Formats: sequence, C-alpha cells, structure tokens
Amino acid sequence: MLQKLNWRCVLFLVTAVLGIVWVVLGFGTYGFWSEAEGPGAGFFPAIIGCVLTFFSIIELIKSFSSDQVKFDKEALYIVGSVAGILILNFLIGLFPALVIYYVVWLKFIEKYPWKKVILITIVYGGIMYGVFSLWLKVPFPTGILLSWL
Amino acid sequence: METLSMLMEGFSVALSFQNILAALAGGILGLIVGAMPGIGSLAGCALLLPLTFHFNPTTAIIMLGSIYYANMFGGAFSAILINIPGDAPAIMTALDGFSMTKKGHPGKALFISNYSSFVGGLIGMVILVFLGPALASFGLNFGPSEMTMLMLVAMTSISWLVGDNPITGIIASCLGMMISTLGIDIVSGQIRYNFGSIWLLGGINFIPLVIGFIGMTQLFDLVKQDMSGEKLSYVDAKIRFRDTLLTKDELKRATRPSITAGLMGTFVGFLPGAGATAASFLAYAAEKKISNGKTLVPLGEGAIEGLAASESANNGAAAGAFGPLLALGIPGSGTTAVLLGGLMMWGLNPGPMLFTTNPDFAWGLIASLFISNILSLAISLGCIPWLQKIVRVPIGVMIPSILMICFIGAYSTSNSMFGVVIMLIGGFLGYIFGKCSLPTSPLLLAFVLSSTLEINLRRAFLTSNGNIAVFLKRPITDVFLVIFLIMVLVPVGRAIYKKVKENK
Amino acid sequence: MKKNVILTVLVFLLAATAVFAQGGKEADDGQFHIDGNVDFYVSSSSGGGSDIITRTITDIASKNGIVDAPFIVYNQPDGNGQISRRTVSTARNADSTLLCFSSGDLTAMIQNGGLTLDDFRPLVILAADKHLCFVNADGKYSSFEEIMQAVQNGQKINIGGTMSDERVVFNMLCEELGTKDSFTYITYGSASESIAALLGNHVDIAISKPAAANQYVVAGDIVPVLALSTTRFSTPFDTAPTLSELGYNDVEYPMWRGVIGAKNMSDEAVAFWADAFKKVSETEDWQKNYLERNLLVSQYMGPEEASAVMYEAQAAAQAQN
Repeated sequence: MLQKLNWRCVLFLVTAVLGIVWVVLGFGTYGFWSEAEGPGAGFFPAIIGCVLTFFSIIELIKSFSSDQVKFDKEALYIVGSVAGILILNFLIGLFPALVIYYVVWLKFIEKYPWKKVILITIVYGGIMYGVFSLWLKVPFPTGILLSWL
Repeated sequence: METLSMLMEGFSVALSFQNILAALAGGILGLIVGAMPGIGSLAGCALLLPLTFHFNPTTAIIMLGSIYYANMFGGAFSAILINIPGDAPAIMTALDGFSMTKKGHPGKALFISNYSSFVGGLIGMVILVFLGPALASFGLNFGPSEMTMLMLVAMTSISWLVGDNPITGIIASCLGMMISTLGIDIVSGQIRYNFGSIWLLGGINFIPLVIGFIGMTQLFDLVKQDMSGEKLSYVDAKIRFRDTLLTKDELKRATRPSITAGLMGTFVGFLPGAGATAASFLAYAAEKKISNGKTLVPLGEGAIEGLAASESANNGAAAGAFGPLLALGIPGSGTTAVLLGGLMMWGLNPGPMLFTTNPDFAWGLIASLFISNILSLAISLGCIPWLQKIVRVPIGVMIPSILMICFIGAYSTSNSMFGVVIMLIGGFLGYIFGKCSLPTSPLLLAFVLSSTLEINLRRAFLTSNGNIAVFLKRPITDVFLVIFLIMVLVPVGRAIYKKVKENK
Repeated sequence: MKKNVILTVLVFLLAATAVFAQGGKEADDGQFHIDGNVDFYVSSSSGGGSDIITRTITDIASKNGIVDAPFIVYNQPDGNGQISRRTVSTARNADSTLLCFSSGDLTAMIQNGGLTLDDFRPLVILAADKHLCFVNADGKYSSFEEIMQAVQNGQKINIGGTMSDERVVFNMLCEELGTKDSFTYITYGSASESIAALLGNHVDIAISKPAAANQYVVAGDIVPVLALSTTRFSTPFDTAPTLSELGYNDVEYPMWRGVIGAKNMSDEAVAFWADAFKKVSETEDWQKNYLERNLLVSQYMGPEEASAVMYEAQAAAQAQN
C-alpha cells in the first residue's frame, strides 16, 4: 500500500489542507478586517492560505499523472541516526549522545579500525566541544541518567 | 570626499586589534566551512552565526561579514578540486574549474578563482562605498507604503530563482510565509497560529530552519553516495605553490572577464531576491556571448575566462548584496538573509537609518569587507595545500560530522531542544520536498521577507485609516507599482502571445 | 572489542558527569551559601537589553567576589520568552535559579497567559526608566498643545512605539486624554525603528525612553514634547512638560529592570540574593558601565518594595489585556 501511495499527491493535499486551516483561523478567529484599524492579525495569513490552497489543488491534479516518488532506503540510516541521538540525548545528554553516535557510525557503519575511530573522534569532538561548550559556554542539556547521579 | 573620510573612519574601527582578530578567525573558519562540500555559504553562515554571539555587535558583525566573504572564496575549492560545489553559486565555477583540474592544472584553477574573487569583490565594495550613503539618505523616504511595495517586488523576483515550474515555487513561497505567521503578531500583540503550544508563541527561528533545510537535507544524498560503494575518485594531483602561479597571458585572459563579471555581479547583487547564484549564472552566460570563439578552449571545457567570470560575479554580488541589506534592510540572497537575522539579533536594524543611526558600525563593516577581501586572498593562497586535505575527507566521515554540527548549531541558536526539533523537521521536509521537486530556496527567502511585508502592509493601512490610496499617491510607491506590474504582466503577456502564435 | 566499547562509553559518561554536574544546595552549617552553579535565565537573545544587564550583573558579582559560585547565563528566547519563565518558575534548584525580569517581560507574560507573578519570588529592582513623547523638529507639530488642538479639529494622530511597555503607556495616555479614537498606535520592532519612522515623518509622535532618543535630541532632529512621568526629566529632555503642567493627571508606566527567582526559593536565599544585588548596585563599575551608559538613575529596591512595584505593574497590564 505504501508503495502505491503517490507522495506528490500526499504533499500537495497536505499543503492544500494547511492553506484551508490558515484561511479558516485567519478569517474566523484572528480578525480579517476591522473598520477602525484596517487589516487584522488574520488578514495576511488568510490571503496566503487562499493562494496556497489554490495552487496546491492545481498541482495536486497535475500530480495524479506524475511519476511515483521513490524514497531511497539509504535514508533510513539518517532516520536511525537521528532517532538514536534523540534517545541517547534523553538518557545521557546531547553532547555525549552525539559523540557516541559519531563513534558508532565510524566503527560499525564505516568499519574503520578502532585507532582511527578514536583519533578522528577526539580531534573532531574536541574541536566541537572546545568551540561550543568551553568557548561559547553553550549549556548543553543533561540527560535523566545524569541527574540521578 | 566625505565618503572617503567616513570610510577611513570605518577603517579605524575595523582595524582595532580585536576586530582584525575576529575578521581573521572568521576568514579562516569561513574558508574551511565554505570548502566543505555541501555546507556552502548559507548553511556555513547559519552554522557559524552562534560563534559571534559573545562579541560586541560591531566585532560580531565584522566577523560574520568576513565569514560570509571567505565562504564565497572557499566555495570554489571543493568545486574545483572534487567537482562538488561548496555552495550554489559555485556550480558555474565547477564547470571550468574541475575541467582544468582534470587536465592537470588544479593549482592554476585555484589561483584564478582566488584572483577573480578578489577583483570581483573589490569592484563590488567600491560601488558599495559610493552608492551606500546615497541609498541611505534616499532610504528615509521609505515609509510603510514604500516598504510594502518594495517587498512585493522582491517577493515577485523570488520567482526568478525558480526553474521550470513556477507553481511549485509559489507553493514553497506560501509555505515560507505561513511559517513566518506563527506566534505573536507584533502589530496587534495578538497570539495566532500557536495551536495551544507555548513553544510556538515566539514563532520559528530562521537559523535552525536553514540548518535543517540546507545542511541536514544534503546528508540524504551523501549517505546514498556512501552506501552505493562507489567512492569518489579524486584527482591525485599535488598542489605546490610554484605551480599555482600564472603566466602573463593567463593573467591577462582572466582580468577582463573578471572586471565585466564583477560589475555585472555587483548590480545583480543589489537587486533584492537575485543573489550570488543568479549573478554567477548571468555573468557566465554573458561571458559566453562576449568571448564567443575567442577563448583557447570553449567555455565549460576548462576555459580561464569562464572560471574567472563565475567567481568574480559571485564575489561582486556578495559585496553588492550588502547594499540593499545595509541601506534598505532587504536581504539579496539566502545568505544575507542569515546575516540580516544576525544583525537583528544584535538589535541593529538594517534599513534606511543604519548609516545615520549606527554609522561607525555600518562603515566599520564596509571597511572590514575590504580587509576580509585581502585577508581571504592571502589565507586561501596560503591554505591551498591544507584545504585540499579537508575536502578529501571521505564521505563516510563527512556524514556524522555534518549531522553532529547540525545538532549543535541548531541547539546553540536558542539554547533549547526546540531549535533541534525545528532543524530536524526542516531536514526531513527538505528531503521530501526535494523528492517531490518542490524547491526550498523560495520557502526560505519568503520566510525572511514576508514578516517585513506583512508588518509594513498593515502599518500602511493603519496610518491611512484603511485607505488603499496610500499606495498610489506617493512617487516612490508609484515607481515600484510600475516595476511590479511589469514583472507580473510581461511574462503573462509573453505566454499569451506565444499561445496565440502557436494557435495560428 | 566489546570491552573497548563499554570502556569508551564509560569514559564519556564520566567526563560528561564531571562537566554537567550542577545544582544548588543549602549547607549544613546554617550559613546560606550556593553549592554548584547559579543558573541565570534571560528570556531574550544575546545582545538585547535583558542580556546586557544580566551579563553586567554576573560580571560584577564574580569579579568583586560578591558571589563565589559560577554563573551560567541561559539565553532562552523561545516562545516569546515564556519558555525560560516557565523553566524558572518550576526550577528544582530553586535557590540558585534566577531570571532577569523587566516590565516589558511582565507585559509579555500577561499577554501570553498561563503565568503570573504568583509563580515567582520577586527579588530586586535595579534600574528604572520612564518615557517621553517626541515630535520631528521639522514636522507638523511643535508642542503637545498643538497636537491636542489638532485632535479637537478632528485630526488623526499616528503614534509609533514598541510592542511592550510603550504600548501600555500609550493606552494609559489615551485613557487619560480621552483620545482613543484619534490616536492610532503603530507598533515598531525597536525604539530606533520608531524614531526612524518619526524622522521620515511617517508617524507624528514617537514614544521612547530617553537613551534611544538622546543623540537625535542633541542633534536637534527631534524634540521632546511630553514627559510621561510625575516630574520633568534632566537635560536635554527638560523642555518637555509633564501632563499635570498641561492640566491633566500625570501618566507613567515606569520601565524597570530587576531579578526574580523561582516560587520555591527559600527565605534565606531571597535574603542572600537581595544582599548580593545590593552590593552589585553599589559598585562603581555598575554606576559607570551600566547606569551612566544607559542614562539611568540608580534605583535599588529590595524584595518587599520590588514586589509591590511589580504587582502594581501587573495590575495595570492585566487591566488592559
């Protein structure tokens, strides 16, 4: 089923619906035009929503006959990486999570020898840590495991 | 004369020890980031912007300017050496530059690119110096109605960025504008489109959005290349400084195209919404017409003229884009849009008043552009062997490195995971958009421009008590109205004419 | 092989623990002191007014040994500042978590909804500022009387100012003068933007604090016509009369900057911070590098006084919302 789905259709369907949401909220809730003050908070977004919906529908109709969009299965590596970093971030904090991801990627996906992995990680991770954390004093989040310690 | 004395004063600001150090640091970092395949000047500026947070505004902006400038220099390195344009304007550079590398002249190609970048940049800056103040005093006349019309024109010119299908460009622009309406409406103070979330109250920050859409999106292509097993083949040429020197004839052949392309690039750079990519493309196309048949090899097959035109126009535009940015507050490209975000973060309002309210800052920045032009030339000539090593980092190492800096950069913009979330959404959307051939640059440009458009549109109505005549009875708005109508009606008219002709 | 992985992970965990460990505690000897870092939140980005005052305070406090614990400044502008306010109001290490707070922040907090001063412990107010109305020196009007005259003749007046405190003072002004229908408020992103609009004659009046307008008044480009205060300002703003001089009641909405803490902050901690900030405000550094540079007068208020001022401002802001 997922293979049959034309993602271009889905995308333009979503943008058309978003446009309608913007029009409804802009026109109804936020105020389109008032006699005393001219355009309200919903004026501009409502117009943009109209334009978006109009062109999305045109493109939606065109997209029925367009080629299927194929996603690469390699993209899953990125999805997996992001998910892993986010989970680790929750547990042990952002910076350690990124370093662990870096090591795992180099070792288990690129299959570099340990010596090379550790060297690259220390150099690159060191630069990142030095610049952002030590120099710029960015307060990176700590994970829940660390707050128990 | 007054201009020159202002510029000298600017030099005295820019030439303070701290500012030179900042320009130097920005230059080196900008070159490195610019030379990294795919990061480019837009994402490079966005990534390095947090670096400037801890300086005083003038120093920070000088550093940002030199990052921006050095990025343009660095963008050519990877394009020339491994045929991966570091950023969009370097696409034209890669055509002739990589051809020269393949023929065994990587050193000469790098030298020409540096030389032309320097010439183009210099031309752009001289024009900026003499038109900057004129634009500034003219800028005071720009009230809400003028700004509204100007923004309408700029928005329309985004469509020039879009290739074959203008409808997808409009859809992308609308999405960008809608994202900009999230959060508090500053004209009325009303909360809108936050869907009950307190995170959305303040709207979406531009920088993580760019890091996601540009920086993270390219990972999907890189990972595909990485997993396909075909490692990129590098040209295994040693680059020694001696080999990079040009003969007199080669220098002469590079100079004339550099000057014409530099002039052209600067003026395209001044146009809002056109930017360096369009400049390098147009100058390259023009050079093809000008030097028709007079080059040693045809353009696209390793011609010095083509390489010089592309690089010079690119840097001329980079300098020219500062004109509308400083004098009118309008970003001429995605990268200057990031710079605009940086300026506003410092409480500086590029616009009609910048040269009047913050003259030391404005002239210091312009003076520092001259300095960073010279610094970039010196650094890049000296760093050629080094930078070659950086761009030769295997893709397998590039992927986690880029992802890591995306996370860190996005987090650092507001010190919260919200930035990371925006970055990730931007990254995945950018991938899906790319697959569905929906262009992302109009989205980013529209996002930047539209809040100015909306605010000024509503201010214009407020000051005139809802009377639409405010857009008609002022001379500047009339001029813009004519330009706007021409931009909209001419393509439509041409399309109709074509249709009629076909039907005959 | 596996050993190496576990070892690497452990090393990073340990390193991370050492770096990230923080927190404030009360020591056992009865004397209050800060253990670990002080988290100082700022609800706007680097470079803004709140950021500058926070960095000045933390610099002075550290340099002069007033507070031994290291400060970590968090700039969290997300959600229009509401995120950092929520974080502070529910902070776990309440005794060592602070928030830079101004009347502009208070207006935004009330507008956003969900939080009030009851969620915090007001600590101190360190500086205060008031507003003035300015006109263009070459503009249509040269005094506030002329403007009121024009209003009586049915003219509409456009007034520019920022979104937060200046909007509040504008509303109070309209209420006092009864000119709600004749005055239109045009919001600008910053004081310099609204002054730029005044210089270009795109608005008739700009409301601004003295510091932002100073150079234009000195240059003779704009003229102060009304002081929104109970007394006149010092030179070069002394030519502007107060409302009571013109026969109305005075209107003012002082723009103050201060520090507040988490709701659960202990009384000992409140006393400690009030004392520490008092010492900061008495340093020469503070006088020279903050107050003088921003044309402010010293205005130290302790927890009780500050609390009274903040609650009064909250009532004014709530009344308009």
